[in-house]
Amino acid sequence: MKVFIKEKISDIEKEYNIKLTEKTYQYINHILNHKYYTDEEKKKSIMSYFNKLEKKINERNI
Amino acid sequence: MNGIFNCMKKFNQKLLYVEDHDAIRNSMSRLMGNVLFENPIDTAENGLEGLELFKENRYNLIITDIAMPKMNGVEMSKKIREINKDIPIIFLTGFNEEYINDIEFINNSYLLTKPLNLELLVEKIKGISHI
Repeated sequence: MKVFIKEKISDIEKEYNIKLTEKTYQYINHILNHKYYTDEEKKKSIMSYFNKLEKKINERNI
Repeated sequence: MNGIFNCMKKFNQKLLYVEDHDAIRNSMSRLMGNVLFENPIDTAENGLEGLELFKENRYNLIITDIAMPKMNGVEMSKKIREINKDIPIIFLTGFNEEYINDIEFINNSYLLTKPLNLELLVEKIKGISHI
């Protein structure tokens, strides 16, 4: 999972030429530390975060 | 719990704390007022009320919940940024926050997770204030 997250962050930063802030890392860690989420739920929640983030970046770039 | 903060010098920031849950808002504002801040803390129960207070008063720190009725914490912060470009804003997040992605683009804003940990809050404020 951590490799997936690292790669995803790197991909977004390269594709959009931005540097994600500490806030993204904190939120992802918050999800990873969730006591009751399964790994699958964590991954789904993190993917949802990244998808929405990319959508926001695209909206800002229009 | 208050004991660990006894020898700490209190922060002199004037804080606006926005949280819609009455019990959390009341207990946290009382606790923060007792152990962390010299000045009385102003509270609001949603973003709209927070924005009105911001317009009428001078603050140098905002701590806000994200999901709230009437106006969420992100919308409130965007409107505050139109008035004040620099005031530090600390967002408190739970899980599955609908507006969490917007926070990435609000400058001089920070994230802490719920339930609020006062030690982490102290570290964050010290970092923001370069203490």
